[in-house]
Amino acid sequence: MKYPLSLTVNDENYDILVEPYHTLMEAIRDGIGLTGTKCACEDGRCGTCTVMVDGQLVKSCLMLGLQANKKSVLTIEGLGAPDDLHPLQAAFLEHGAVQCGYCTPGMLLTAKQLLDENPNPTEEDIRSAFVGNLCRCGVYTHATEAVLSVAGEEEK
Amino acid sequence: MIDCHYLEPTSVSEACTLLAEHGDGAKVVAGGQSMAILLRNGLSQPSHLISIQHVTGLEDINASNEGVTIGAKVTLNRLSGIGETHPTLRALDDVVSDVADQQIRNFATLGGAICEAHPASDITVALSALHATVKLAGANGERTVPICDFVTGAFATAAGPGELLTEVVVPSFDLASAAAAHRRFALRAGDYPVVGVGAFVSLDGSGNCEDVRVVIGNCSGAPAHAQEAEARLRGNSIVGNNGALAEAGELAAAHVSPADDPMAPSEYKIDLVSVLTREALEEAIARATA
Ligand SMILES: Cc1cc2nc3c(=O)[nH]c(=O)nc-3n(C[C@H](O)[C@H](O)[C@H](O)COP(=O)(O)OP(=O)(O)OC[C@H]3O[C@@H](n4cnc5c(N)ncnc54)[C@H](O)[C@@H]3O)c2cc1C
Ligand code: FES
Ligand code: FES
Repeated sequence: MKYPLSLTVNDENYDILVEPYHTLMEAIRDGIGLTGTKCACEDGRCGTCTVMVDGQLVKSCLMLGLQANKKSVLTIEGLGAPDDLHPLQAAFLEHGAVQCGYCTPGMLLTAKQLLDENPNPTEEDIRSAFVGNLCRCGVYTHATEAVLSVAGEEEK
Repeated sequence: MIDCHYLEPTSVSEACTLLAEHGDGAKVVAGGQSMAILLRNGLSQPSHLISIQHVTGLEDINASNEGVTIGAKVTLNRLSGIGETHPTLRALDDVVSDVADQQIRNFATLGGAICEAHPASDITVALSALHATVKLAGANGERTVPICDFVTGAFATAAGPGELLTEVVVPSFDLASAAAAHRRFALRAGDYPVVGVGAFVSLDGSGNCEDVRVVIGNCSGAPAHAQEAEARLRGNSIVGNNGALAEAGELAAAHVSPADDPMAPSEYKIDLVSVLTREALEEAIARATA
């Protein structure tokens, strides 16, 4: 049985219908059509589907869409725009922290949450923040450097 | 996928009524961190999902003379550092920050971590070493069950149809002479452990072992109590007695006969039990004598 799901995604309101067992990831990608949130393992392991719900980081394949009803979601599309990159996006490009790019949306949101909570993280803090984000291309070192370069600078 | 309904009670009693009404077809959703996977894989095909997201009164942490009571909906992230505020919970604090990753810990609840009844659950092992009990609410009232009796096997609990886990109670103990610790080994950060061991010790006036518990995770369906290891230590001198602790480790290893799993073969797990048992005991003794 389908239920109405009302989400604010990147400051825009969406009203869609979902089955109770549909995940937030399915709601975002298939229901709303925002495909920047990636889908890889659908098992909670890779972190490519990471988004923020009411300011808290979550793997969107591990949350039912209806659990996010009436909540505010930030996806990669809301972080910056091609002509107005978020400082973390610019830093990822500059430090070569993007290879195939599949893990990048999740990595960037994880980095954003880290800096929101701790504007001056150590390298160790950054590495432990990335525990839930796997990168098959192995950009961890570059991503860590990118976050360090933004740390302490004015957050957007 | 069968037709599925989604219900959002706002109180414990309403949740229990709905659970009783829909019987075996009803499943609780707390943080959803395991449930979403079970639903996707078809391992759970409920007719009614009962979300406890809006149920009030399950999010408190309270300390009294008897112990510390933690609401079922308290998230694992909130428990990180809990050993500083409530020192009897240090063994739980040992594990919470190693469970999965921050994304998962943001929404994973303590109740969900227990009710999932995963054989490798760190939370259940730590709480068993601490002699925790869980409180269950049902249509016919409440009951309290020791956590070791609550988790009955792999993915199986003693919760009857219509019962909701509402809180966990960790009994108090004398911090001057007793302590617990948990040690785990995982292949990668964020993974379930290959083996986890929780240990509790209390010492009598002359520094001998008065009481001890050794609980082993991921070597059987439900956490195992290494009774032979406990018997080796109870009543004996254990502070600084490395020989006794090593023997206890070996007795604990002899207690289990784990199956091979994708993470490690059986012999490897058995070796880990020996080492982690010794380490958990050493740490618990160090804390009890600090
Ligand atoms: C990738 C990954 C890695 C993990 N690693 C670890 C690890 O290293 N160590 C570890 O210990 N755990 C680990 N976990 C498990 C994690 O701790 C659980 O997924 C989480 O705690 C479940 O909590 P939840 O609130 O999301 O429960 P849900 O997913 O909502 O529910 C889980 C189960 O419990 C039932 N349930 C939930 N709450 C109640 C209640 N109050 N009363 C009765 N029944 C209830 C549900 O019906 C369901 O069967 C991992 C999980 C994932 C996805
Ligand atoms: S797709 Fe969600 S964690 Fe991999
Ligand atoms: S850049 Fe390819 S997976 Fe990370």
